Amino acid sequence: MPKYLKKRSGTTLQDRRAHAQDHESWSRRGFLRTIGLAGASSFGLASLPLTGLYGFPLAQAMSTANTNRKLVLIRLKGGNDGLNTIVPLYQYNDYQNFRPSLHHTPGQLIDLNEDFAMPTAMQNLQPLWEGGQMRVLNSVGYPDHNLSHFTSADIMASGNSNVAENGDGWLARYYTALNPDYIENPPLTPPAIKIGGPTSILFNDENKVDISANFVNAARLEEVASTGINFNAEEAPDECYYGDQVIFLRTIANAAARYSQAIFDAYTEGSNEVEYTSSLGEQLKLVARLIKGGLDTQLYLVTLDGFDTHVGQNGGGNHLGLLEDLSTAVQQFYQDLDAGNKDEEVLAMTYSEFGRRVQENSVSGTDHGTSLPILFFGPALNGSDTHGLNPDLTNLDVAGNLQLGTDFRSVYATVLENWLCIDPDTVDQVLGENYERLPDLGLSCGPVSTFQPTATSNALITSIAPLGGGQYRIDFVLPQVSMVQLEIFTLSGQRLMTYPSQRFPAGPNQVPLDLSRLPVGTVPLVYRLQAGGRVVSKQFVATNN
Amino acid sequence: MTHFSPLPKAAPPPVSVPLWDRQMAVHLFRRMAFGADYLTIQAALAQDPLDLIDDLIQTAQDRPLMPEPAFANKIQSEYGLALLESVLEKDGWTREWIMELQLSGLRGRMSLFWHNHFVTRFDIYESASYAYQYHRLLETHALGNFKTFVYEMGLTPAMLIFLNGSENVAGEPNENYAREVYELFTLGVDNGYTQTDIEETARALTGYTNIPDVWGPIFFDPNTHDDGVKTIFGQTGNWGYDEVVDLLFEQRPVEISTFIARKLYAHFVNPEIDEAAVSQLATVFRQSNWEIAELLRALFKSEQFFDPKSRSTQIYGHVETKLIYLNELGATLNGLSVFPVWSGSAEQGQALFNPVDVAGWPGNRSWINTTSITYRWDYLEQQIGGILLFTFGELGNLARSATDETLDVEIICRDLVHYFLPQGLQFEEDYEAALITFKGETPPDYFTNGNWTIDYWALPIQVAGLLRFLVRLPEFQLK
Repeated sequence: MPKYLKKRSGTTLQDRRAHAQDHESWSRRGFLRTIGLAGASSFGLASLPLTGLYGFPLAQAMSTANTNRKLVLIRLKGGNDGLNTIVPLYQYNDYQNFRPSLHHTPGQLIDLNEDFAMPTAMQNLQPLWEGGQMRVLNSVGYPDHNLSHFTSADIMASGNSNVAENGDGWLARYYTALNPDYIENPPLTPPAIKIGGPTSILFNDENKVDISANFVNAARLEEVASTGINFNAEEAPDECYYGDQVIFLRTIANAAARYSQAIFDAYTEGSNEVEYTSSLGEQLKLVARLIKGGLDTQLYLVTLDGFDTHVGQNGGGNHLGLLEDLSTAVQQFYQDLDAGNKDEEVLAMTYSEFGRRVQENSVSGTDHGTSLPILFFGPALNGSDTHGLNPDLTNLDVAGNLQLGTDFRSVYATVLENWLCIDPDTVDQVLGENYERLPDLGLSCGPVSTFQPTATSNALITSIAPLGGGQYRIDFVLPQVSMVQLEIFTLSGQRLMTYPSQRFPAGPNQVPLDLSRLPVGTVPLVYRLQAGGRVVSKQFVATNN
Repeated sequence: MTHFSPLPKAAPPPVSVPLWDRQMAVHLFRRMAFGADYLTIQAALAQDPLDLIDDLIQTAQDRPLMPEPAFANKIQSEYGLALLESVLEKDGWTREWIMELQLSGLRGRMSLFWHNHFVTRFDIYESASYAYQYHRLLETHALGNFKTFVYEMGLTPAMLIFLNGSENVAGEPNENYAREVYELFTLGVDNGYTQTDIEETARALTGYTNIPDVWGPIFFDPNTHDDGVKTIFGQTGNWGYDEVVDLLFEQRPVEISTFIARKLYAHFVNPEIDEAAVSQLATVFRQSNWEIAELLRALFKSEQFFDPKSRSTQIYGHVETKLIYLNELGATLNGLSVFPVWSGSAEQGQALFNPVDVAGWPGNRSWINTTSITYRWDYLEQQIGGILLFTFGELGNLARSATDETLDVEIICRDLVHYFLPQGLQFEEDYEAALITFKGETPPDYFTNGNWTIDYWALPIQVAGLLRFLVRLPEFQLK
C-alpha cells in the first residue's frame, strides 16, 4: 500500500511559519469576511454596517430573561390593501367616493374605536382586540416607496432602501450580531424558520446564505418535523449506480441538516390544542406546535400570498377571503399558544411590500400604492389601540397615494429594542441608522406585566387597597360593559394567579383579592387587569404578617 | 448490461446513433470539460455528437500551454525568505491554473486527472519552480503519449524528490519510486510485478542525485548509478532508467492499458465499472501505441458514456464541482473570485499541488461529509447573488434556452430542473416545490392573466430562486 511519506528535515520552522500565515489569511472565517466568497465586498454589498458588528460585545446586551421571546412575521405577499383592511371612519365619505365598488358598507364593518373599523371578514380578530392583544400602526412605509413587488419586498426584508445594497435581511443581521461565530459554531436550533420557499431575503446573511431552515410550504415542514428527516434516504430513484449515489448523498445531507433533530424533538414534545381552519393556519399551526414543544428558535416567517389584487378585489381577487384567512389563523394561533401558556412569549406582526392606490381602478381592483397599516398581535402588546398617522384621503401625494406616517424601520427598531431586547446601539447598527422608537406599542423588556400604558380617554382607572390579613381590594372604572380578567404576577413575570374572566357593568367596580396564602413577608407584586381591549398593570407591595 | 459494441481498430463510433438531447449535452460537457454555458450547449445540439467529441479532443490538443511564469527555473539562492516566497508563488500559480482549468475543456480535465494520478506534494519538495515544471508536464501530456508521459514524469525534480529518486544511490537503493511507478502509476497494486522486480528496478533507477543548486535541475550522476546486471520482469541486462520504461511497456502492456482504461472509465463514464468495456478500451489504448487521446476518443464515443444511466453518477472534487457550476451559469472566474475556489477547496481537503498522499485524493464519496456538504451548499448559494448582480440577463437567457416557445411556467421550470439535474427529480413533490420557488416573488395571478411571459423582467430572479432550491438538493452534487 502507498506509504505516507515523512516530511524531510530542514526548513521546518520557516515552513511552519509560512503555512501558518497562509492558513490564517485564508481561514474560512477570514475569506468569508474579506473576500466574502466570490467577493461580497466587490459586489458592493459590504457597505452595510456589518463588518463593524463582528466582535461587538452584544450577547450580554441581550437579557437572558428574554431569550424565550419569539417574533412571528406574517408576510402578506403581493401588497395588502391597507385601506380596506383598516377603514378610516373619520373620512368614510371620501373612502366611499374613492372606492365606489370596493368600499365596505357600514354594515360590513366592526368598529375598533371611533376612528377606525375593520371589515366583518376580520371578525375573528375581535377577541384579540377586546383582549388587549392587538394593535394597529397606521401609515407605515418609507420615503419614495418603491412600487415594484420585488424591490419593495427586498427593501422591507432588508431594512435598506438602497436597492443596490439589498444583500441581507434585517433579522439575519440581528441574529448574526448576537451570534458572530454562527458560521464556526452553527447552532443546533435553527436561527429562524421560514415557511414559503427560499426567495425572501429576510434571513439572508451578508454572504447571501440563508440562515433559516426554510420550507416551501407547511407540508414540507410537517414532513421534516414529524420524521426528523429532510430527504428520503430509503427509496432510491433507480437501481443503478445513480440511485446508490443519491441515497449516499441524502444520508449525508440528512446528517448535515442539523436542525432537523431539534425541529423533530420540539414537534414531538409540542401539540396543537386548537383546530386550525385556514390556509395561513396550516403554517401557524406548526409554528405554535414547535414553540409549545420548546423550540428555541426566535424568528419565524410565514406567508400568505395573493394580495396583489389588481382585478376584482372583492370578487375573484378574494381580498376578503385573505383577510378572513389571516384573522382566523391569528386568532386560532393565539388560542393555541394560550392553551400551552406560551402566548406571552410570542409577538406576531404583519408586513407587506406596499399598500394599494387609494382610488380603485377601472376593473374593480387596486393598483400598487405606498404606506399601509401594520397589525401586531399578542399579550405582549399590553393593550389594544390604533397608532400612527391617521391616513388622510384628502391629502394624497401626486400619484394618488397615502402619505407616509411611520418609517417601517422605526417598527423594526422598536421590536428589536423593546421586544427582542437588544441594546439601542446595536439596534442602530443593525438598521444602519437611528430610527425613532415607538413606545406606544406597549412592548417592554421588563416583565410583561409591569408595563404601564399611557393613559387615554377611555383608559381604565384602577387602584388597589390593602384590607389587612392578606386581603386586598382592586377598584376599577369601566367605560362600558366589558369582560374583565385579573392576573397577579411576580416581578420576574411569573404568573401567580388568574381570576376567571367575568362580565362587569360600566362604572365603578370592585374585585376582592385574597393573598393570605402567600408566604409571610413583604413581596413586590404586579396585578394586571384587562377589560374591553385595555390593559393596566401596576406594581404593589403585598404584606402578609 | 454489457451491450458494448466491439471496437474495430482505430477509435470507431458506436454502431447506434446515441441519444442526443439537451440533458445528454450537459452530461457530455460535464465530463469532457468543466461544464458549459447554455449557448455552448445549444450550439452543441446542432452538431453530431461524435463530431463534437472529435472537436473537443482536437481543441484540447491544440491549446497552448499556460505562459511560463517568472519563477519557472528559480533556485533557492535567488529568494529572500525562500519558503514563504515559494509558497506564495505556488499559490498564485494554483489560482492561475484554476482559472485556466475553467476555460480549458478536456485539456484542463485531463491535467487535473493526471495531477491526481502522478501525485507529487509541494509540502515535500517546497519549490515553486519544481511545481511549475511538474505542472507543465501535466499540461503537455494531458492528451499525449502515456509512455512518454511516464518517462518524463519520473525525471521531473518534483517527483525525484517526492518519491526519493534523488536519494536513490548504488549500494543503498531507495525503492519508493520503483514501487509507486508500478503500484500507482502504471500497473495497479500487486498486478504483474514482484518485490524482486521492485528491488531490481530501484537499482536500475539509481543515479539521479546531482543537484548543483537547491531547487535547481537534477542531473544524472554516473557515480551514484548502479551499473550492475538486473533482472526485471524476467528480463536480464544492465538496465538503466530508459530501459526500465521500455521493459515496463513491452512486458506488461495489458496490465498497463487495463489499469489506465479502468481508472479513466471510473472517472469519466461511471464509477461502476463495466469490465468488458474497459477491456475494449484497453485494446484501443495498446493499438494506438499509448496515445491518450485515442483512448479518450473511444471512451467518450462508447455506448456506456451515452447511456442515460451514466449521467449524474459522479461526485467530483470541490474544485471541479465549482467550475462546472460556474460554467453552467455563465460566470467566469477572475483574480478575485478565484480565491474562494482555491482556498475554500483547499480547506475542505482539495489543496492543488498537495493531494493527501501519493495515491491521490480517493475521490467520489470521500469528498462528501457533513462539513463539506454544508460548505458546498454555502458556496453554491453565495454564487447566485453575485451572478444576479453581474450577469443578470444571463439567467433569463438560460431559462429562455430551456423552452421550446412554450409559456407554460411548469414546463419551463421542469426543463430548467433537468438542465441542472439531467436525471430529474425523484418525487413529484420535489417538482412542486421547485415550481413554488421558481414562481417565487412573482404575483401568482401573473401566471394566469398573461402578465408573466418568458420575457418577464424578473425572470432572472425567478431562476435564481429556483437555483437556491436546487443547490440544496443532495442530487445536485452529482455530475
